[in-house]
Amino acid sequence: MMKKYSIQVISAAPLIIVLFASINWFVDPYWFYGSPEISRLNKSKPLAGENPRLFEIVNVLRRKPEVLIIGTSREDSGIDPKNEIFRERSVFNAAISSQPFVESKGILESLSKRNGNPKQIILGLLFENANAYGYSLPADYSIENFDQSRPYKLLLSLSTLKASAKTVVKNIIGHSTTTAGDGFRTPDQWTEQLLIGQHKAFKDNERHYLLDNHFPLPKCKNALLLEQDDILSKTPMQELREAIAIAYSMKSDMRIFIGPSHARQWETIQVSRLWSQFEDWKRMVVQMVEAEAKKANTKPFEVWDFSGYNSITNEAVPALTDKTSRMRYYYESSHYTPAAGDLVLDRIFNYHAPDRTVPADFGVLLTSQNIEAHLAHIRAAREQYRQTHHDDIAEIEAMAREVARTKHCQITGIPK
Amino acid sequence: MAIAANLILLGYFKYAHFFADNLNHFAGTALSVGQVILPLGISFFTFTQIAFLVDTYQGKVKEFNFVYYTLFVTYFPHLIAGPVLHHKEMMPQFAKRNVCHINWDNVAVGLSIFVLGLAKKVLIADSLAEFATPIFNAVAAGGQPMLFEAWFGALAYTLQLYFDFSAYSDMAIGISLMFNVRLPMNFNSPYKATNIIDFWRRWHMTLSRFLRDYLYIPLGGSRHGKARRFLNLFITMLLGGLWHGAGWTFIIWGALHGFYLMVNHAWRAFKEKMGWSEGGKLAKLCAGALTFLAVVVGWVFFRADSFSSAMTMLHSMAGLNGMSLPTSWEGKLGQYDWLSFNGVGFAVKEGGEILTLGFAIIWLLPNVWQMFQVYRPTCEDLKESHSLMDSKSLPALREKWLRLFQWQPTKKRAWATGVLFAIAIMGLTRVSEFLYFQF
Repeated sequence: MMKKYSIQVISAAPLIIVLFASINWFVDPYWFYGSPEISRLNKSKPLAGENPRLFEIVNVLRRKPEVLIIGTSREDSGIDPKNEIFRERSVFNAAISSQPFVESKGILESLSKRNGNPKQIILGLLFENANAYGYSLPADYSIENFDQSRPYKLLLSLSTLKASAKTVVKNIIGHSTTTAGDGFRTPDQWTEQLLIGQHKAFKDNERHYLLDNHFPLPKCKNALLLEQDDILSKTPMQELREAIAIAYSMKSDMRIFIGPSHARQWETIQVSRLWSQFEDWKRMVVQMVEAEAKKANTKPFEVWDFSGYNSITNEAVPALTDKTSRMRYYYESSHYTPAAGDLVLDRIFNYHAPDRTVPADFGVLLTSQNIEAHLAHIRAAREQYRQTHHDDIAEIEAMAREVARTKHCQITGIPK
Repeated sequence: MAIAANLILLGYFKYAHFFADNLNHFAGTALSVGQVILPLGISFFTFTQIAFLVDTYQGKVKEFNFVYYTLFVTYFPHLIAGPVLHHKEMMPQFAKRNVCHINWDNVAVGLSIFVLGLAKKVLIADSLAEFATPIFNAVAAGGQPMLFEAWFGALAYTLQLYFDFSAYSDMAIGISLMFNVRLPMNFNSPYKATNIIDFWRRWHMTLSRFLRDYLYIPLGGSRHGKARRFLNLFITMLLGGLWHGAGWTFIIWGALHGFYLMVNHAWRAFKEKMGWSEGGKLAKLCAGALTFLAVVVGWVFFRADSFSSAMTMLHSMAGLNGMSLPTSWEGKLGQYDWLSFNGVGFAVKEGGEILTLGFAIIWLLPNVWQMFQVYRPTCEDLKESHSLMDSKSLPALREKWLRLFQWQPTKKRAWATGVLFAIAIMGLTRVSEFLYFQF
């Protein structure tokens, strides 16, 4: 009896593992295996959206796209791979929420190793990502995602089995995915988040930046370089420099841009007294792109600045009591809509779409020759904005004071 | 001299950095130890060898076969996380002729215990770690949790440690049994303890036994009056704490338990003097809750990276750092604000589910030893002369419904064990969940 029991246990386990692996392959919750897609069963892949880091890193390395989009959640939900500019080319949006520069670099490095050099790279930059004291890898970051065997290991994973079960259930109840197969986050993901009203969404996000992002714990500091005593690892800007150097070595055409977040977002930088650092950061980006081009003996990548105060970023925010109006270019102060993203692409690829026109003041190509004039122009536009948007400014300043009182550690720059 | 040699090796490999760092800190020296690679299982085989040496010196050892001795010291199932083996229990088993034969009874029971241990480790302990680790890490990085978050972290770690540690013991017992060698029981539902003395009779039982026999009793035990007994207890627990790891937090944890034990013994003596009874169910429940609370506070020191981090956690657990509700209740995304400072957040609902499951298992269900008791999987059971299959003569679990958990070699249970085995193996490859939405 005991022998029979032992044999049953030992034979049951591999049988069950094969069964579960087959289910994982068939349901394919993360678009890894190219399994048949059956509607109401596995056609929609909501779990890809819930585990974007896994889904996007593994897939971008597998698919080796001709056009690669990288950056943070702004680009993930703002730059649509289906834009007509990319027609007939394979495009993958590997921009992911909280993507640190080291992860962008990792994608380029891994593609290079797998002979998957993209012809075109679009890199969206975020100022907060450059903070040498804010550098922490996202909780779902995993080096294993860069491993070629990752999709096959995940066939034999309980996490994937759970994801498969959830996928089937969500398909049956008609739950659609918020992430497309090309890595783009569809606007659907914002529907629920904006039920609180767009003005409240702006405020919540701005508070989050004032409280968490501009001066993150434990040091509550924001700097592009580390102080001597703190130098333990590379700074984010060193990682970015290496990412740019890899892109040059891949002979790809990289277009770099500073995203078109809303004017109120820039005001959170101003009120946190980080404006001069914000300008230094832009100078540093231009300098490193040109320096790395020189090293690679090629012409520098284009660096575009969509930040500041212009016809798009100054879009009026609905009143706090208005919960139904939706803005054309923004979800909240930091995240822009694909409508703004399309204008970004039009500008950087000099594309003229028949149904839209890029405002003349939207997007400036930065070089070491024009950057000072450009920064001075933004400063003047900021003063103008402050004169004409008293209520917005007062609201952000009040939030900054409240945050300075709430935060556990002293925030340099913001008066209590 | 032999004991000293063992302790010097342990001291060098495990504590050299700790002592050098402290010397440098307090005496202003610049002592450098260089890189020291810790030999696998040194904490365990040092103790087993000391026990053998002491017993040899005292003339208690009867088995001196070098091969059996070497096998006993290096016996692989227990090396990573115990139990702490004793030569008296182990070496006679190696000498048995049938140890090299396949015994399907032992294979079936051992395999089942191993599968349960693996499932406890992979499915429960590792899931709990996903919640406990970020909280303690964030505190180490300067975060200050509020009431719920701190308790969440402390309780998740309390359960994680039990499921992790007891799972390793279960796996060791299971693997060993498949080789026809019975290891001693190491955990007996410690969180059901109603006082700290009881806790140490149930938690890492083989370590408690070793510390009692080879440290507490040689120090004098309870033979030289109450004050000396308390001092001996305290020293034993202090060194027991240091054995767990080279750090002040472990020493503080040991000292805390030494203090708990002193209070417990004093209270017991006081109760006897006053002629008070043990109390009813309610009193036992309160005693259990108090014991559990004391143990949780101890684990905070055990897990924290420094004394100040532990104090931050305790400060927060006492509610002195305020209380926050999950921001998800405000329509946000289920993350705690303070955790997001450190790039960490988690879904509260999922954390609550795994905590509830953990508590249900430790408080409501029988432990692995109880489930397999009738098949005598550990060496304590060998003292009785029943054969492995002679289960009818043994007491069954009292509660009727708990009998459901008594292991039996049926076809249904074989398949259930096989499924659990498969799930546990598949649980080894995990996906780090997307837990927050920060940038």
